Amino acid sequence: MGEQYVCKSFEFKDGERRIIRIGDDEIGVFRHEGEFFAYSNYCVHQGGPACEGLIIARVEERLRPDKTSMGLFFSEKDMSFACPWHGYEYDMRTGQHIADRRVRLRKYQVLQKGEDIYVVV
Amino acid sequence: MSSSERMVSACEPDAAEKVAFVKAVFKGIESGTEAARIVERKKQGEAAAPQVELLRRIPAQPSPESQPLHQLSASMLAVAAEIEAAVSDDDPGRIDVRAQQALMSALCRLYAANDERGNHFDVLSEQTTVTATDAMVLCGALLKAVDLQVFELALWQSWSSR
Repeated sequence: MGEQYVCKSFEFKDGERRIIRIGDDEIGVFRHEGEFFAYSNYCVHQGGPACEGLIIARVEERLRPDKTSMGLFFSEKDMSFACPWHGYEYDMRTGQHIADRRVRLRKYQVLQKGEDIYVVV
Repeated sequence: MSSSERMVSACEPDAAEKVAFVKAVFKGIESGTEAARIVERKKQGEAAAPQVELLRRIPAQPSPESQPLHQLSASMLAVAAEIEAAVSDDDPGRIDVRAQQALMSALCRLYAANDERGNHFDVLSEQTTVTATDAMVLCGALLKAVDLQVFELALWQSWSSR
């Protein structure tokens, strides 16, 4: 199908999401820290609207040099989004499931030509 | 018959197929068939290409950092960051006990006052570094400080439906 026009970049605020349909595909387009990402909106778990759940920071455990735990913290750089049905959590930048990297959402390329945003299907 | 003539005759449809073809041309394409749909798609050309349909717009989640803070709240956040740093550096002793008691007392009263006025909120934010053990240590110490047993807490929670 090629490049499909989505919208102008200035219409798409940082942190915003758009759920679009192109043909038979339902796609979630994210703008995160100025970058665009697009994934299939069908969760690989049970087909829930994967791209419409909470956007949350990754939970990570920080260790001291002697490997004792300082506790659990929210990551300051890695973000995930969670399917609202059963909480399957996906990496914002790759679409991979955060616990099992073999599981991933279908990723679509997003092109920015000037101010126009396109999804390549 | 030469070999080339035999090849042409082998490729050529027989009389019955020719008749069927002529009848089909004369009859035209029947509506509702796949052939009719293909012709329709070809006629529509560009219009039949998939369109991008916007289903939903989900605005950015509001971040607490984007809200303006009262001066007192900003000062409290700065103090909290200092305390967190002291704990992370494994040097909690650098904060005077009297200061800790004053802060704990003020925060207890502040939280209870909010709760009494119906201003309910999670006592810890999502970004908290408090562990379950930290919470139990503090809860136990608070109960002891006001001479309460866990049983009495459970009784009060049950009576007040909290």
